[in-house]
Amino acid sequence: MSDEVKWDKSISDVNDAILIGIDSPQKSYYFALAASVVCLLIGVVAWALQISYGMGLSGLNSPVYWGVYITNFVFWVGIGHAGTLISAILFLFRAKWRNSINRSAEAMTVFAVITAGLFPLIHVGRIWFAPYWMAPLPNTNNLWVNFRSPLIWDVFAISTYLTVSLLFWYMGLVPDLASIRDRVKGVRRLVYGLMSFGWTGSVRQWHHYEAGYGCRAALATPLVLSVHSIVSWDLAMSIQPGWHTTIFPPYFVAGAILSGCAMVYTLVVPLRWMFKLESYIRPEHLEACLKLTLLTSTIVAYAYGIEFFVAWYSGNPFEWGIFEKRATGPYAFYFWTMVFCNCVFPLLLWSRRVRYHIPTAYAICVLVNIGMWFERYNIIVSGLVEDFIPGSWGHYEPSLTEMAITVGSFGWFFFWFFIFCRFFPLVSMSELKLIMPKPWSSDKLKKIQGANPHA
Amino acid sequence: MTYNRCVGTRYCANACPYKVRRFNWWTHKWGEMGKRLQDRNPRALNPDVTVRTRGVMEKCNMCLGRLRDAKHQAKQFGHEMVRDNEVRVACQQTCPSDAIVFGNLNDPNSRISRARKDHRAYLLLGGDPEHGHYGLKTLPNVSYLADIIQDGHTQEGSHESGHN
Repeated sequence: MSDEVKWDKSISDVNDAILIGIDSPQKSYYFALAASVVCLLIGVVAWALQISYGMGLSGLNSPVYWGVYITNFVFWVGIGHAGTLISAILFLFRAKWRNSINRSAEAMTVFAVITAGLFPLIHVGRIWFAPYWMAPLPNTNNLWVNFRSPLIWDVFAISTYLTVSLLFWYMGLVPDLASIRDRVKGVRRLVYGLMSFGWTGSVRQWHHYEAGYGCRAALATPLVLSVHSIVSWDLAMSIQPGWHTTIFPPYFVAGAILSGCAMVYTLVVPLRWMFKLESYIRPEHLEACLKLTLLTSTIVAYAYGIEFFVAWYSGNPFEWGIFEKRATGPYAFYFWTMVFCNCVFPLLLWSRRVRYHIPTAYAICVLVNIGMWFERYNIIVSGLVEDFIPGSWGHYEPSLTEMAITVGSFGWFFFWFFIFCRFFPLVSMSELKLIMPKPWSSDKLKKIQGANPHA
Repeated sequence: MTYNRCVGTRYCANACPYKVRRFNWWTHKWGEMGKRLQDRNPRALNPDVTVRTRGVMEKCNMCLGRLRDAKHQAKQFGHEMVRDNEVRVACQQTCPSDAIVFGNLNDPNSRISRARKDHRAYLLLGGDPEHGHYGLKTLPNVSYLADIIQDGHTQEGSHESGHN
């Protein structure tokens, strides 16, 4: 793939171009950071009110006990998956295009999982007990968590995922941190020196690094499949019609990768412009990400179809009742938004012209993000409103508190992402150099301004 | 359920096919209930039931405190089991039409045992999917007695579900 990439820079330009963003960010960067802080504060206020006054503020009520918070939880965990897919699985497959976007994808994974991890805490009734009661800690009362509950499996899945992605991401950062250390002075040099663990770039170090990086990639690979499977079991393990289906694990994994790839695109395109990385994150790399989006979109479309078919074919009236109402009942708007955003609009990506037309492709990716949020909302809410006994049917719409916390979660995610952009290289410099052309010949070098002979 | 161990994930309420669980969304205003000291002290409301704070799930516990009392009493008197009328649950006690029967299913002669064996008795969602009933095999301890409505077409009685 990268053989077809038309590079206009060589590896000697990489360090200067990428680290300039750390030294002197654009104005747009500060604007984006401020916007994310405002969103975060909205969420913080809403959560504080909810903790002080009670879960009643969330607007949930019988029979819908899970709403926007769990939707957000599943959404954010899903976002993370594409990051691991791009950084770990595509590394093992030696897909070269990943090298320009893998750092941002991994950062996205780490921050998305941290954001997701907040939602079970926002969701529970007694936040003041939940964080340590949910952990299987030995205690004098000999009380243990219920190991048969999928919610506990979730605790293990998410904490494992966060640990592995954090280590993988950090390990990839070490050579780049050493490059920054060599450029800066004073306290910053000390801090970056400590963070890069005395990396010198010797052959011996690279040898160990490559082996370790490969091992971590192999360790992260099964997590791409397992984590969202376990998240789907939160729903599939119950007997609720509309939730209790065996298709959920693969369906959720495909959906997670779809939303994640769309999110990578949604993030990388503005950052590429904000940090002037157009020469390093090439349109060909972005196009490859779109192809992955298209692939997973078709898998998701197939899953939607099969889910309906099985609901009808099972002959279970409760199951079919849920599905019928999902498409035609009070939640039909959510359902059809989901279908159009996730299955219909991405079909435009079959066209090569659309894939290379960044504004159109960007709009499609934003729509996919919206559609994937609606998918989770649709599954969770429409599965709960109308189940076995008509007497206990109900209706639910998101409340102001829930929406404010959702806005806050985006603020939280982008806040950490922008902080990351300010202090760490947004593109993996050491890996980018593996796929970029060697320094130009002396004739060509004269033509290129600002080439750094020392790099 | 153990109220003081609950963190309120509300998973049980989602999973409940009868949707009988209720969640404490707000802090109850115990202090506004009365002027007397015992009305303001939450522990005075019902000494048999743990006080539920906000953020905790709850459901009918079949008057567990009363059952315990009745069992202790039966043991003290040397009875083999709790007999009819030795315990009455709160809803039964207050039901104006006396529609609720509560008792010991292990006692074959109790009123509830006889009522449950009645051909009108059915279990809500308790049917057996293997025999064409779209139930969940929850095998609930609560059974209802179906209304019998005279069907104009067939002289025989047809069953229609109704609360009893």
